[in-house]
Amino acid sequence: MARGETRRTFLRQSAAFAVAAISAPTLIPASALGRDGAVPPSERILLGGIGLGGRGTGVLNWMLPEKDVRFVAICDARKSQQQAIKRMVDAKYGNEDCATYQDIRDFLATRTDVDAVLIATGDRWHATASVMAMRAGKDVYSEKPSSMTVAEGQAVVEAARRYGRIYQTGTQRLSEANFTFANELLRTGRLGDVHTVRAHIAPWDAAEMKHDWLPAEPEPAKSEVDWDQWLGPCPWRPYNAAYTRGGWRGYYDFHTSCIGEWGAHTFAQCQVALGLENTSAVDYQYVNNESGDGMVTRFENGVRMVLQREGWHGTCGVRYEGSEGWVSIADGYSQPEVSRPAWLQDFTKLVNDYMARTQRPMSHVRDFFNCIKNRRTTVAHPVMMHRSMTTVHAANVCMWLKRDVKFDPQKEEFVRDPEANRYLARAARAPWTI
Amino acid sequence: MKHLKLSVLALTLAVLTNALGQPAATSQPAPRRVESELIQVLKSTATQKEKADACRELAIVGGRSSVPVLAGFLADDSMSHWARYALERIPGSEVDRTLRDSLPALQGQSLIGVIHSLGERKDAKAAKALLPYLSNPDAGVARAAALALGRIGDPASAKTMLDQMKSATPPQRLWLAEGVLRGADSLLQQGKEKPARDLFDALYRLELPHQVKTATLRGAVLARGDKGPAFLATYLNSQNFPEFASALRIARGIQTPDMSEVLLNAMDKARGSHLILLMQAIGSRRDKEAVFPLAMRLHDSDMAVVKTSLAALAQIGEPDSAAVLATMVIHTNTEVRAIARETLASLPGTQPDEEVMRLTDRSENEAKIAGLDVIVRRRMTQALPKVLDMARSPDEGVRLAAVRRAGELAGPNGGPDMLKLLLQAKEDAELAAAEQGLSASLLKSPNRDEAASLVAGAWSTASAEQKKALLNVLSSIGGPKALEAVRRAIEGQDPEIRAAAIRALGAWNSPEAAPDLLKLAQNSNDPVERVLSLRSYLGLVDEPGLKPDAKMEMVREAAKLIKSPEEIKLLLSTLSGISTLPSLQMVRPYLKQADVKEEAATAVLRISEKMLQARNIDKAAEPIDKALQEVAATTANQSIKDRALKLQEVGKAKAAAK
Repeated sequence: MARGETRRTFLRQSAAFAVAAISAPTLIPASALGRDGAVPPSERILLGGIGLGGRGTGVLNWMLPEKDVRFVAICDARKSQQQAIKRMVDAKYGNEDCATYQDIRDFLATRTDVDAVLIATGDRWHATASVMAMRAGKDVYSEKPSSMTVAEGQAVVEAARRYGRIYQTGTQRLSEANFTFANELLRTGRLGDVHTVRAHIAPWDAAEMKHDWLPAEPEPAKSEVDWDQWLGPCPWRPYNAAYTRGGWRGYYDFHTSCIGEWGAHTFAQCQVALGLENTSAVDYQYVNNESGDGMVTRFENGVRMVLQREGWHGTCGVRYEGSEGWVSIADGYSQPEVSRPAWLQDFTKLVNDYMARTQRPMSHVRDFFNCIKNRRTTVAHPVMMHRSMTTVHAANVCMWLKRDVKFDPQKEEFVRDPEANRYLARAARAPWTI
Repeated sequence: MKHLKLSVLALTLAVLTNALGQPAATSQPAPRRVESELIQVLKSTATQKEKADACRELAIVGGRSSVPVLAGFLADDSMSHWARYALERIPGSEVDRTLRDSLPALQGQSLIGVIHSLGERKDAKAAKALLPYLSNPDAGVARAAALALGRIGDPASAKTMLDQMKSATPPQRLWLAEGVLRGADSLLQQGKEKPARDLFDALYRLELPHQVKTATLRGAVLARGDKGPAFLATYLNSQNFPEFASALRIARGIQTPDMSEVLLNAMDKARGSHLILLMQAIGSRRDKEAVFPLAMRLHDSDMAVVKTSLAALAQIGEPDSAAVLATMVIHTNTEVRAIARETLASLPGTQPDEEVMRLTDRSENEAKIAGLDVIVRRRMTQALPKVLDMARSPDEGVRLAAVRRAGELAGPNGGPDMLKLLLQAKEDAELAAAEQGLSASLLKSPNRDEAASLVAGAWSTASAEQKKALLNVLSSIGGPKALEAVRRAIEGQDPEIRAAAIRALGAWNSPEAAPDLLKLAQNSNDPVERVLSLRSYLGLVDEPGLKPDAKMEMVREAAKLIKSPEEIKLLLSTLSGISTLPSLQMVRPYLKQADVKEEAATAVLRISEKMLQARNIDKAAEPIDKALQEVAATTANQSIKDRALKLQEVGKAKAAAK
């Protein structure tokens, strides 16, 4: 790193920006973001995208309005998706500047100007792309579920630590007021001694994974769909267009099951609420059904986490139960459900106190961008992602082996269980090894 | 033997089935097979898919017997990864030896894969064999070798990679650096601090991208153990921003008191953005020792420094900082004031409560109002008598703030006090504040009927304006008693009070007021009152707790009373908020009615838009399409037509995707 290197080529911070970065949104005046709310180009975060489909487009739509962010390049194995994102971004900025790339290696090697990337491929690529991007000096916002195995999660943690990168996993409910209120009720002791938490798992798909191959179709030209790259570290299988249109869900090679689909969110929420983001559940009790519904897991401190398909009238619900009462929340609730309605009077106070104490905004993408600027750890940091995803992976292994399993969070392996330990990693396919 | 025969028979059947063009695999999980069966599959003429499945299972159940069979596939481009898929997970030195021995015969992706597997298995014996691959002309092979050697953590390899970096191209340098860093980290984990430090220091002297510099500096700090924070101090004082930012990121990851001290020392010397970032880092460590140095910054001339200092104090959450924070709540800068109040509100303990009470005793009205604000934010219920006392303040600003805050602070038993304040209020602003306070207080009551009775009991002594305020309070409380009280008001003769009572029913906190409003809409002889009742009735349809069927039932009742085009528009507006097929069907006939067709078209768009967001629109796809087609054909508004056509496309795409 040359002495004469400018701030722009590394990180762009100014006193005004730094203040914007530390403050909760309600406390940031427009003037703090630059003159008339506009942001000088030299102070912008340059953002790129890797593998943005439907979900990625949604997240990008959250990110684009951020005034200090400029999306400059999309990398996708599918040409159609490169073009779709380019159209969307160019329409937003009123120019044709969004660059397109097909090969992730080419993108990361040539775009040294890009500060951060949004990764929203399918599950199979999240960890590999994150590690590659962090090694290339990018900060990373990765969609969930952010690892396919325990070993992949460890690789993400290692890369973020080693290279000093900012990493946020897309568990956005950690930055939403209703869920924050529930977590704060628990943290401040209003619920008393919490003995049970309940975590929503997706009410579709199954824990049992598919291994079949769809019928082979003629592989398109590489410039249209780079099939080898689309598969990435996963085992080869013949091309079928359905995979590239979202039909990869439910396959062992590509997906983390109905448990990972929402557990990536809800296990993270429960573990953060319990202050257990640096560990994983230790006991997993097998349930004889297709989804893991009703599985009881237990943490070292004795708190039980129960996996449930029902119990909320919204998505990604959690419920915390203690000696003094309970709170339950899911997407779409106008307010959390609580055993004592009087707690709701403190809704604003608890959420504001949280924001004052943690200096976190109620916006997941904003938290990421703030952390890029002040080099602070994000709310959904790599260790939290890895530990909660380890709970997901262990619950999946429990279902796949159709028996109880025990996990040692210190050693990060199943306890005296060589068979289960075989699932801790999967050999990556060359050249997509990290 | 019998078991083996059955396996062969099953395998033969599987091969035959495949040959006949049937799908080779099923989505149903196959029963777990034993290692010998899987080996037989690999040795047979089974398809690639069947062999792949066998490898997948061997990754879980494979043992020593599988190794030679799997090794036979390592040079086969179509099966090499599958062989590794199994081998990488099978424990034992046989696998390591097999992978090492296979190296000379491999090239391209197969070679890259095996090198990677040796690294993943941390096979120390492979280091010597892998070293020459660092110079392989195939960049992928050289990269794999660097990463694997790093993973293995061989010191000699790390030194070789370090030497090679001096003449390497920029991409090569990145892999080699990763290899060296992994090797040095591995030495560190083994407690070999000196050789690790030498590697990190040597690497840091090279020209490298910023992230590698950060990684190297981090390693150099960790390799110095207790002396690491002091070593990092130099970089935290650097005027070179990238160097400073790297150091800061590293410092944030080291949670020792020494590191806190180093950061505070750096803060003393820093200016501008460096100072701000250091203060943020210090705040996030929640170290009590930092409270005084941070508080000293509260009077800085740079507002950015002041605000950052407040935020850092909020993060530390030390009650001792309450006194100094209390001085900031009436700061001339609005943003500073807001942050100071928020911070003071969030501090734990009783000491901040005392500071807040002192604020209300100060002579400046602004301080009193700020104190009232923080009292509520801190939920200081013990301060209620003081707040009620302030509600009699001669200063209007303080008085209004106190009346409003008293209601927010008062518990379920605070109703009488709040009602008294309302009945004393004469000016509009004071009445509004008292109404707000009384509602806030009574909403906390566990018994709604008791709360309603309290309010109803004040009716006879209240002025007309106070009665309107009481009606609003009743609507926010809800329940049978409150409803009875409002009904009595409707039966009165004063038209203004009657209208206020109807509005109160329209603002009811649940649909329980709907029958009263419907009855009024059906029977009232006063056209103004009839329309007001109908509008209020339809307003209750928006109640979030109501299910779509119940909403439609209410709308159907209202439809029977609709007379004028304006009322139809009201109905259409309500229907547009119900995103169901029956709602859509109810709107469609109005597309043909000239005086309301544009409102109907807008309603169709809103309903369709919501319905098309649903995961499954099977049965609704056709009616939505037809309704949108009708909109496009009838509207005179080009923008509505364009939206309808666009939504039609969305619907078709969704149906096709399904």
